[in-house]
Amino acid sequence: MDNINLQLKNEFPGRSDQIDVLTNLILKPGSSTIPFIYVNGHTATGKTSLLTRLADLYVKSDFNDGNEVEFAGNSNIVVIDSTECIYPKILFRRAITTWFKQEIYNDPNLLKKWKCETFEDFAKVLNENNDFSTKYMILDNAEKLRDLGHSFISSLLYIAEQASEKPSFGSFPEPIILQFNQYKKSEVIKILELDCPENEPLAFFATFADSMYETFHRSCNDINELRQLISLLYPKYIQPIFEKQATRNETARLFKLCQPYFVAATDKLYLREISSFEWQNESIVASAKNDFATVEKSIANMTTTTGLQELPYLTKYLLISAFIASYNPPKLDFQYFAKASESKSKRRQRVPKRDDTGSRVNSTTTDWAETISSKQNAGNIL
Amino acid sequence: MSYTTINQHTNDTQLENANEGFQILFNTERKEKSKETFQSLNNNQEPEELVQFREILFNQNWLKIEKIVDFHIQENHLITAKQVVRFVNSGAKRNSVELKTKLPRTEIKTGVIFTGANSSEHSQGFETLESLLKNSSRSDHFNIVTRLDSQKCSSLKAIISQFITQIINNNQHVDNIYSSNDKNKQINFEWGDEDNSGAYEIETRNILEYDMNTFETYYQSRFKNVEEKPQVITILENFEGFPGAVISDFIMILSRYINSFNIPIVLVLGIATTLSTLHQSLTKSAIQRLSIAKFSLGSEQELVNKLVLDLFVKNNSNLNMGFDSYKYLMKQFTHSNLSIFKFKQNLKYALMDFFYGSPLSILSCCLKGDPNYSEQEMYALPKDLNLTTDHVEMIMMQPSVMRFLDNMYRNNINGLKEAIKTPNFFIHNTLPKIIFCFQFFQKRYSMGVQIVENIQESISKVNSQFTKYPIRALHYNALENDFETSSPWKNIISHLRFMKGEDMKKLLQTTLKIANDCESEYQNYLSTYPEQPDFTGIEYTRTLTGGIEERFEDCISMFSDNFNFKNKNDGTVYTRKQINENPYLLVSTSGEVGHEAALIKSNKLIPAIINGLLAHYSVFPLNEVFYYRKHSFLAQSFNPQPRTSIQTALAKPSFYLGQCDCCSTKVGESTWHSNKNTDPLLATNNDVSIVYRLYLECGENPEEVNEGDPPEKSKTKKQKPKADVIDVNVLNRFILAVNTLYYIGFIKKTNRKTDHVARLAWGYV
Repeated sequence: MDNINLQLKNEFPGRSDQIDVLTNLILKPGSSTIPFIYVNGHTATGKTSLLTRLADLYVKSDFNDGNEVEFAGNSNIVVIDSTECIYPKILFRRAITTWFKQEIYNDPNLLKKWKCETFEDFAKVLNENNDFSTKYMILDNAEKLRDLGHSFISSLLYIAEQASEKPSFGSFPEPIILQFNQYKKSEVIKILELDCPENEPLAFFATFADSMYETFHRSCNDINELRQLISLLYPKYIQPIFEKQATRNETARLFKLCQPYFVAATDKLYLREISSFEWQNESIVASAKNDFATVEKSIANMTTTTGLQELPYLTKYLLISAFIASYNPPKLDFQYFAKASESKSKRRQRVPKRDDTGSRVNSTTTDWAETISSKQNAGNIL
Repeated sequence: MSYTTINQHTNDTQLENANEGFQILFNTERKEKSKETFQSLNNNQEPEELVQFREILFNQNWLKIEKIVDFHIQENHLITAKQVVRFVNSGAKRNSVELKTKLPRTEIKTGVIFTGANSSEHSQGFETLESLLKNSSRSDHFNIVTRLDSQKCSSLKAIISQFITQIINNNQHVDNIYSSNDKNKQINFEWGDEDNSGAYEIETRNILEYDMNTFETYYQSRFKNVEEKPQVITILENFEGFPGAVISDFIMILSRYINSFNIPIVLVLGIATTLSTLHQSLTKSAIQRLSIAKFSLGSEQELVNKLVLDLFVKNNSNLNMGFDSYKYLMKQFTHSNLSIFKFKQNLKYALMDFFYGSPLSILSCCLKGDPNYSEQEMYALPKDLNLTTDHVEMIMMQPSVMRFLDNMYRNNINGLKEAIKTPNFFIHNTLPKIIFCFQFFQKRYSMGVQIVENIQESISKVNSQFTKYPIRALHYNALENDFETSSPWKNIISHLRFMKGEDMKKLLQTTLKIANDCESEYQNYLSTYPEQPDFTGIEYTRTLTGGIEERFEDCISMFSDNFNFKNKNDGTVYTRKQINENPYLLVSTSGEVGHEAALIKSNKLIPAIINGLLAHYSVFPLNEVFYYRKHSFLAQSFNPQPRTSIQTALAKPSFYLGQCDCCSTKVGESTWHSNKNTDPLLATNNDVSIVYRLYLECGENPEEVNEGDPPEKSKTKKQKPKADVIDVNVLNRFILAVNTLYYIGFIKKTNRKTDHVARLAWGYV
């Protein structure tokens, strides 16, 4: 069990606390039953990958000696992507085919026998096959379960009670909330270092990763995006070394040679205007011999095909006029789009009297706005 | 050799002579004959077999045109389909040769095909792609293909069901291939383990209950022992039709199966708009999982250019469009829809009208088509057509035929008399020559367009700022007026004058090659005639080019002679205006002074030749018969005016609803009949129709329309009915009808006081 804990900590830098909590709650056999753990966090903070890996290691590991073995029998832990669960039945079947794999293997008719159409069926199966071991169900994208009915999630939380046929105690214990916070810089760099290609010096790669992080972290916290960008741009960065036009120590020169790619392509790669496939297949091989214009032209060529290039003549006019109209006040529509000129009213417009109270109101409004903004600033500081 | 018919318009004097001759001859003959004229052909007097023959010709010609159009569409689709297949079957490529890097996660290989605005027209392209993907084989590598229909995939449940159903049912080819390949390997393909004990059997469930586990079980068990597993290719033909959230979820699910179970899945998305649609529809996480390659299903404008070249310029169909009809076709295409299908519909309608509306359209079977497209062609000589004297007269009354005869028998008055007076002689001797000449001029026209294309190509190579005119524009200008006066040709000539000697020499060489090719093609074409054409009087048709090769060769030799000539730069400076007017001033100051004479000669030769080749179609003999000109008929048929139709329907409901016997008797008795444009008002008419006609009577003030049935009430305005006469039901019907008219947009509200109007119209109800 400690092996799993250590392995997970190596694979997931910056998630030690969460790993400790999870291994304590899940991996200890006979530990007190927890109703459910609510894992929460921003995108790309390692929730799914950590839990999936944990389940994977749990399945493969032998509890007694901690060695990994190929597990062919029942597994007490199942990972289910809730997106796929378009019917409750699918979720139940996924769970029982993993938890009672051995039984189904021995008697294939069991699947037909266990209909698992409803919660009652599911609870019945669990009750009939109760081996007094804790079963774990990891639900990825759990918010999708709301599509299965407003009471589905709450019913699912009571499934343990239904299975054990114990009387309900009324109120339900509070869930354990496990928060996955955003990574710090050092943690991000450690994660990025895991992608270091074979035979590449780690320190050299870390320098590049660090500079990429410094460039992008203000606008992009998504670690998956950073990993993608690094994997696409690193070969361009290192190419002059293979061509013997620079050495690994000449970092500034390498960055300068790579600069055209950074300037011309990073926004397009980030916005997926250029896909990884196009980048790998169509971008020119980085070289010190390529000038900025050549690189820019090659990148521009990749973004030329963006779809519809032809529209009927009248459709174009319609679109352009709709666009222009959307930027005009409605009262000018007649003036711009009608052939006849608008007949102007001959009535003389009354000029409103200047009122001293107006200035007072204005000044009061300004003061009030300033007060609000100063309060907000104070709130931010606090 | 005379080119009078080609290069010069027959002058008015000649035409007057011919007219005079025709009038004298025919007037005397007609006096002798009965009052019947050639117009009897248009008065249902045409022989029945010829009418049926026209229908046969229409069907045969349409098949030919359809074949040509479909061929070009198919060819267009095939290019893209092959690119996509290459992409689908290609392996991953590394970013760097030296570096062993890999992407952080496996992405779904995705081909995005930009289909263009008329997405419904591209299902044929996707069918081609599907069949290519199914049949494409790379060693033992095969594909499982699914095509998801957006109309049936509104939810994730539906999309998964469709996906799995198609994988299991529509890919028998994979089963066949693997069964045949694996005879030696002894692999058990039952859905389950090899020993069949404890197998996971897929239940024969309701299709709607399929889930991705079924897919996984099927795939893993079916291809368990196969070394290279088949790719699962999912085609989403009309991407905009799918809900974005559903597709995002589907992509996330597929991505999981790629990463967890190593199932090679490829997506092919057909997008009608732009790439931004993809970004707007899908979630960020779904887009992150796609590795996109872009393809285009081809431009509709280029496709139309090919069709114009094939159908109208090379004239592989027997349908020729006059200027107005062609203009209508192109305007509909470029201005309104860019739709090839609509273009095809217009063509079919024009062809139908051409054959059904013109008795002389039977002559089109005398046009000898291109050998490449003449498999199903029905070719006949004029003598085999059983033409009546009415036909002959009608042909001879065409101005172009008069001009042609006048030119052909310029020095042979007796021949002219015989041709005019003896229908048999005309059919056997003269008419074949006329038809042959028509085709001769068309072939020269086709050669002219090819040469102009070549000139444009040469100019664009040396001048990047020059924009080539598409074939359809060249054809448009050549049909409109004389091509030499058109603005595209003037522009081309102005660029031609700035070409350097060496480039001009290359241009002349390539043009000479085109001329030679066309000439040999023409001679080959002549040899396919069942009977050798009689060239008497039309000797100039023996060769297509008429000796222009020699003139080109002369020019080319001038370039070769003076190539190394010394610069005679005298330091003279010319203004831009002077150079634009006479570019050779610049030449004389440059190193190419030796080419000056050759350049001047080339710049005179090329326009002269093009002017001769691209003659206006109005000088072709029998152009009145072979060119379809009824553009207004097409416009009426394809541009319906709904407002006018509604007005007609309301004013004359009998047009649409017919008239029963009882009503037809009442029509005669009806005292109320406003004008000829409307039906008489009857109590049995629809309420809206009655109110509309009353509205026409009353003008723009619907409040003045009286309630009640007009025939009974007469057409008096502002009549105050007695309060006890008004039936509330009738009042309600009236209000409803007025509101319907208001809704349709025929009447509008006024600012008059309603109570006043109500009192005026209804009294004190």
